[in-house]
Amino acid sequence: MNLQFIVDAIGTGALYSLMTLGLALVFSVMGLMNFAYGQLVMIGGFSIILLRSQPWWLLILGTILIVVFVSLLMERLAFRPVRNATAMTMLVTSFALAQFLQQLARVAFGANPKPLEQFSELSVQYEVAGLIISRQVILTLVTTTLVLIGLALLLRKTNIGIQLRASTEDVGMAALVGIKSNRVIAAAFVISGTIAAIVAILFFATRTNVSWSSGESIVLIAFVGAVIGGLGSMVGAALGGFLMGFVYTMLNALLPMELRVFADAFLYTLVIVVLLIRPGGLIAAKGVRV
Amino acid sequence: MDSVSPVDVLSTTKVCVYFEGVKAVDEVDLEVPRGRITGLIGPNGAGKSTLFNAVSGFVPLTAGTVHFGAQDISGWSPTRIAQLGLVRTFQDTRIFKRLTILENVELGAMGSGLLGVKARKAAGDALELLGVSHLSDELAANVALGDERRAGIARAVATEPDFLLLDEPAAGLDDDETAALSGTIVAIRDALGCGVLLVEHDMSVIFGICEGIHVMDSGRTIAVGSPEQIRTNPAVIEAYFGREHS
Repeated sequence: MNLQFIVDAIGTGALYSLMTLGLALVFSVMGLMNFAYGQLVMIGGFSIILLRSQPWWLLILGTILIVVFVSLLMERLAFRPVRNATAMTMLVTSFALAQFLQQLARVAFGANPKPLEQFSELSVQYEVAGLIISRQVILTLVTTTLVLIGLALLLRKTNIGIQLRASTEDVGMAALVGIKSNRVIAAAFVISGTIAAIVAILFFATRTNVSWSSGESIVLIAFVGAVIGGLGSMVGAALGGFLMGFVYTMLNALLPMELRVFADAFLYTLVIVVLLIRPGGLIAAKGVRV
Repeated sequence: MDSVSPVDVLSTTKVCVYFEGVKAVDEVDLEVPRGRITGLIGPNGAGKSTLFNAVSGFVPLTAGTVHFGAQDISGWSPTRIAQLGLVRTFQDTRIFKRLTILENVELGAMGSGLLGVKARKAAGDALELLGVSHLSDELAANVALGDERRAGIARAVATEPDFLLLDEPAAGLDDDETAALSGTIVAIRDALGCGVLLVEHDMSVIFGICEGIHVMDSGRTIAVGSPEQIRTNPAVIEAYFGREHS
């Protein structure tokens, strides 16, 4: 049996799990499903084009800085004013922001996708026990593992991490024990932005162009991943995102050729089945109403 | 901060809190001296919880003022009041269930401006003082009510407050736990030198450890004095003990 597709599925799963984490973190801290998150990844894509000729470390650092800056700007200008409004108001705000950023990118970079020079060094492939593994997959797996460990350490060991976790449980009570909500929420947007930038680098490393609409599908995957993982739970988000990527790739590999065009339909049918069995998601966080 | 300007008293002057015409608290003058344990008692509906909430900023004042030393803190937000050094606990504890006991208490220390190792040390000391340091690494969701209550008090203690307001800390505890808690409250006062305001139904705690007692009934102050004075005060016996134990 050819196990090659499992390697690919794990690679895609890892990437999707990162995407989902960035979205879920902000949601769990302030109850905001930030649909403009996909546009952060899109902006990351354009940053990569902008910095393509720079040394790799500058490209990575620059992309992270740009995306984090936009993420913080989002929080400050768009979300802070509606922080105490209803969840619906915040949701609509995030949709509006997503559209705004897309149209802005369309004006700035044109309606046609911008070509991105391939990262040929990442397409180098290794053969391990009969399986072909590209550098890109290895990079994705290593990065995802490092981000997960880093995030876990940050949340467990640092002041801001403990404050973030307290805020995800009860933001009002956290304020009462003297935790500054502004700082904690800004920190969540910094982390979310950093993850979006990393996702952009890993995602666009295999693409040949970046488009103003590049973020749309990403945020949908992350959103569904967060919901099936269990809203408000970081472990659930990572798991939910991973399953989205893994199952999607497996479906594309295993479905008979004539059914492959329906891979999306199969995937989302599975999502519905999961939610029928576990409405709160795979790892339901206490106190979150869905 | 304490050494720069010691705040020796927390006081209210003619504080009124009305809810839609009902005078829950009516012109109450309360004094909580630093370094002493002051009990706030009264029959159900006397207004002691409302007064407690008004002092800690959780209920807006209809009239009157609250002073922290010489500083007028009337109308301040609970967070700002807590940062000044007036910290309260909650009857339902409200600790974060998904955090460990130590992390919960660390949050209190961070809220008062300590960071990193210092916050952890302050939290450790507070847990030690409350006698629950063996539960440091337990998830708060997994500890018994008495220990949860102690963690809630430890969180307040870790901020090293000038005044500590305890909201029915003995509620739901058994006799042994209640007796132990009384000793702990005295130990906290001795360690921090803070003033303690104690709202409590359990008279063994009130008469056991309070140096001053403030009695309310129907929103008004009916007696203020030492435990001996309160025990023999006719108005208190009439309004409080007479009604509840007749």
